[in-house]
Amino acid sequence: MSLVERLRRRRPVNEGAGAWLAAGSVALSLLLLGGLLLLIAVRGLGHFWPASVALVELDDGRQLAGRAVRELPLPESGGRERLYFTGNRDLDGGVWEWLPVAEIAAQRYPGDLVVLERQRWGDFIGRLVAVEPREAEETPRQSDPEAAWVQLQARLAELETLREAREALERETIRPLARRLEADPDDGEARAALAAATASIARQTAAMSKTTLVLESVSGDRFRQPLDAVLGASRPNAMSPGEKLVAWTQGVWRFLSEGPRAANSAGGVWPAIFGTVLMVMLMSLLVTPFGVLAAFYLNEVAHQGRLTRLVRIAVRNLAGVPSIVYGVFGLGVFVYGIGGTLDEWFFGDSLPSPTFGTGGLLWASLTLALLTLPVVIVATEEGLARIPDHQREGALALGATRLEMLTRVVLPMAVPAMLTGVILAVARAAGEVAPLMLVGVAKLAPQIPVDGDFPFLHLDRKFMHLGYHVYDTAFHGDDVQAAMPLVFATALLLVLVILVLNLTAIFLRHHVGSRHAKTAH
Amino acid sequence: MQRRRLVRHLIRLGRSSSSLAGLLVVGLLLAAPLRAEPVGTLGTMGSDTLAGLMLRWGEQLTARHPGIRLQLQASGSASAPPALTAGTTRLGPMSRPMREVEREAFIARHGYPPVDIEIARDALAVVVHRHHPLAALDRQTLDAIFSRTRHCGGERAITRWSQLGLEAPPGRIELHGRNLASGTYGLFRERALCGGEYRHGLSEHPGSAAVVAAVGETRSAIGYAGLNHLTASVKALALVDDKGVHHRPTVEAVRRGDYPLSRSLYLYLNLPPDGALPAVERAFLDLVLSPAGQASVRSLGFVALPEAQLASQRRRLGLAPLGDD
Amino acid sequence: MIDRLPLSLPRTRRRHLRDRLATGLIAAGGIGVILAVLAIGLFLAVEAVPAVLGGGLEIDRIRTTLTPIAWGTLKAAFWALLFAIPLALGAAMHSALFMSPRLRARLKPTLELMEALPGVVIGFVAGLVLAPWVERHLAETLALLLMVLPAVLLAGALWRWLPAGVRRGLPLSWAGLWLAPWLIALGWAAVAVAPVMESLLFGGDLRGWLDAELGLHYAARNALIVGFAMGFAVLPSVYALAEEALAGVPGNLAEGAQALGATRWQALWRVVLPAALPGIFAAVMIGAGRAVGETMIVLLASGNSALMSASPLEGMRTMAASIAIELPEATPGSADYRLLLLAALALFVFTFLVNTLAEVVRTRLDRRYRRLGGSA
Repeated sequence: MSLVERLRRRRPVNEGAGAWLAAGSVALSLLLLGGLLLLIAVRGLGHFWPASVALVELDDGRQLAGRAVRELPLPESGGRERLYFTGNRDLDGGVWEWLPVAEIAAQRYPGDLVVLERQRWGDFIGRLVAVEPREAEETPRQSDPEAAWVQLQARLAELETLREAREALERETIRPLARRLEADPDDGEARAALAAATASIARQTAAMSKTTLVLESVSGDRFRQPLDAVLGASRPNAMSPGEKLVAWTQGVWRFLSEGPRAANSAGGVWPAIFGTVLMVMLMSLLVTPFGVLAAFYLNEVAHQGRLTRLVRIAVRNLAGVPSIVYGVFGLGVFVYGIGGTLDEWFFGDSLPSPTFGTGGLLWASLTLALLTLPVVIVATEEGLARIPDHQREGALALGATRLEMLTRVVLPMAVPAMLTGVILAVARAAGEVAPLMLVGVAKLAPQIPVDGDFPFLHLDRKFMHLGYHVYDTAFHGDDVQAAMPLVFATALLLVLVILVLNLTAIFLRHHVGSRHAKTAH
Repeated sequence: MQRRRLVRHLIRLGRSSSSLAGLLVVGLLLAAPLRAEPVGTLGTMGSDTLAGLMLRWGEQLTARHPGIRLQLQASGSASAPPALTAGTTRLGPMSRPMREVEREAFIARHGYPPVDIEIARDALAVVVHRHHPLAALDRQTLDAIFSRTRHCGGERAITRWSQLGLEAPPGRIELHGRNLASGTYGLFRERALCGGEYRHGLSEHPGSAAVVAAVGETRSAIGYAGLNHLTASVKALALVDDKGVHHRPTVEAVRRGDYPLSRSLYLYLNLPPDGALPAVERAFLDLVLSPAGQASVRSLGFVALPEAQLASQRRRLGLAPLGDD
Repeated sequence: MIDRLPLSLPRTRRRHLRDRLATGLIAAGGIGVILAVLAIGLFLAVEAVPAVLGGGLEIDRIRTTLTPIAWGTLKAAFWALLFAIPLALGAAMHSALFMSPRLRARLKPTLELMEALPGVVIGFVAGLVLAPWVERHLAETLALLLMVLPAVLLAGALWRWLPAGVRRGLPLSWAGLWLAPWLIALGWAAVAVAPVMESLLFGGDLRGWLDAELGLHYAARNALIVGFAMGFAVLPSVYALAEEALAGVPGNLAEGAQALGATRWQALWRVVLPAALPGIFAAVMIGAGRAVGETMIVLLASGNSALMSASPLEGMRTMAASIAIELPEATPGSADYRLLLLAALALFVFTFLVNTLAEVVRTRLDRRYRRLGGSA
């Protein structure tokens, strides 16, 4: 027997091309999924890292400072061009600059470049010359950037305490008073207290605007910047990796805990996180009892005839109807129909301002509950069908009524199936955006729909949603390029929220399921 | 430090605001004239072009009057009249004036016309990729590129850049614009297409920023967007009028009124003729028609209103004249 | 039976009264919920149909408005399914018959996660990241697409000639995992040689070549991009149903075939697949239903141009996307409003029919398995 023959004999059976292609499609699907998640995670988390600011000198002697964002080949010449984020919208009119790489003479990273985050006009990138009181007329001829930087840090910290005090005042005094006044416009005492509080805020605001900064862009333009419009300052080139890590953590935290700012193009997404989770929870609360009720009726009470079978198939099919169709239904029936009528009956005095006749939390939750109802019904029914009939018969034989049989025997055994249904419902609802566009999300609703005023949960309010926020910032903002990192971060967060909601539900099912398994046997 | 104590006191006051001590303090503090502090919800529905501006003003408003809650929705100017008519909102920002049909529908429902307030000026820029060789376009060519009807008098449809004698971007021209509901879509159709119909291949984007982003990525593309959305990735073309004068879309040209595709931006208000302006809306309009509000207009890339027009509109709405604040 | 028990104690009577009452309530509630769910179709029909029949909408207007978006809907769904079905069915076959049980237990929840990925995220990545990249790197994309098939087949061929020890380390049952790095490596290579290929075959400009030679215009947001993104979204649900159908085929069928000398692939292809065909058909139908109704992906990645073009390189506009952007602006009761409701009704009817078809086929399949005597 020759070596070749021996080798050939030891080859495995040829499964053929098909088997490998099948395996390849698994690999490709996993690659695509992994690639997408990786892209979102890297771009989303990378945004908070304080990237270095380059000082670019061009061949013609022009200087500019900015962060390199992307690089593309030039169409004809074969060279490349680079996009810099240069900030300073108030000075240059724009925040972006495309530079041909070939024209860049030198690129340095000096430690004294300052990045200021501002309330208006976006970021400033340049040098800090001095910190002085507002009234100072003349710019000092001699300046010490180091001392100014230290001074700026101290002033910013002071400003931060003032802002916190102001926020506390708003949260704890003004909002409750405002709610009281809304309920009773003639409440003179509340009106007086509110006026006083607002006056004190106005005074504080005046106190905050006492300092100005003298700033200079790298091209030499000098101007004054009121300190109270500055939200944060950093010198990314002078930061150590450790400091950058701290700044990164702070950035992530602020993104999660703050509200949006500057027309949704900066700041955080806290109201959107809250709105998403609240809406999904409300929806689960609505869908579970109704779904279970319908499943019990179909499986335990209804006569098992042709009609029931048809209804069952119809309900099953509704799970496949596109979500946008449910949105249309929600808009037509809930918002325009029921909401409009409710307004006429109960909120007539506030018309033409609508209360329930416009999209809101309640209608959004109801629409999504309807959307996920078939899922819950089908899952619960499957659970009920799995319960052997002798369990029911045994209970009845021992003298239980049908209600007792259903609540004491059947219901506990069906709990895992019900929870499966709710999990599936949550998984489907958390990422839905299309129906919400019709029935209740808002671009900006910074006050979350839960607060300390009666009735605490405001079902008529519009709310923000992470998914809609992604759509909105990516397509409706002022500048897609500038919004991209935030969109990625929001998308990552949405995926994480959905993951957590799913995992919670799975954990719940496991927990309840195992406890039930013990009692059943 | 006195301020701190005051704050703390006011916080306590808010928690148990019926206390007599609280009232006393309030009484002492009322050196400033007592103005009714507006409370309530400000809901708006309308233009997407104005969305950023409305958000800025909303932020400014809540900073001034923390008792006001915001609910802003933006999906296009065409969404404002139905919402105003159906009563789902009181304020409708629009990037074009209301059409006669929309106005009549409003009057039929409410019995009085809506109040229109001009809040800023804007212009539509025709944009191409930043490396596009073209610098200016005349009316006929623009219409021949975008429309299938050529009402402005172009001789033949232009679907390739090579038809204009350009060598650089090869292939067909890719058209980008806004969706049907937006005022931008309607304005461009009326002014640039002489009321004609768009070509079928037009990509309809849900936002102006998306138009600019798409044009900035594609060399053979052309699109239109509001002045405030322009970035370094695209180039705004000058428009050539029939006398051969080039008009660049600049703030000065828009303020002068030279640039052909400029427009006014409006806020429509549902206000009964005998009714007083509700406090929340009053506070909002007071901000919008003030120097601080117009500064936001500028910072977002729109064109602010002249002083005289601010004053006359304030008079019309019964707001205090400027300079008293 | 229960009713005839002696009701001597008042407590028993109360119990039974409560029982009747509760049963009645469950029945009433259940019927109410079911009616509410079914009311969707009714509502759309009541709002849209009278307007069409009663002349509130001109037929001409319906035709000019709805035809392009109906065409766009079908075009998008077609490309999505063209992309999703081979991948989903391949993955289902592999995981039902070849994959190691341990890997399979992990794979299923992973793909469930994929199903829960929101359309808005997929659409945003497709529209703002993928579409511009593909437009700039047309040749690279083409190379990547062409590379996948030969790369997998090459892996299969090479694998047979590997030393036995290495081969045992890389079994076919784990190929779903270890093929991934191989694909990445070859993908890298394909991207690297793409510019060379482009300059040799297409004169250095694939886009220009398409335009000049084939008369095809390449739009950045086109049916292929939408199909790819939507296929990605549809894939998991098709996979789950197809896998269920394949794994449900009674085991003795495949065993019999293998005992007669068939390879595992032959047994799958000739015996298991035909038996599971109705189930797979149902899976494809469900996928079609989802692809037709998906809103956000199309809205963000398609360009929304109302074109009636068959070219996969041009954009389209779908019913769902039109409803999403235009309905909030339409005055209730106006012609536009009813037109959009008509589109919603069309979507509803289409998906309802497709799903019913799938359901009927699946019920038949269940019966067939039972007849085959398997313990599915």
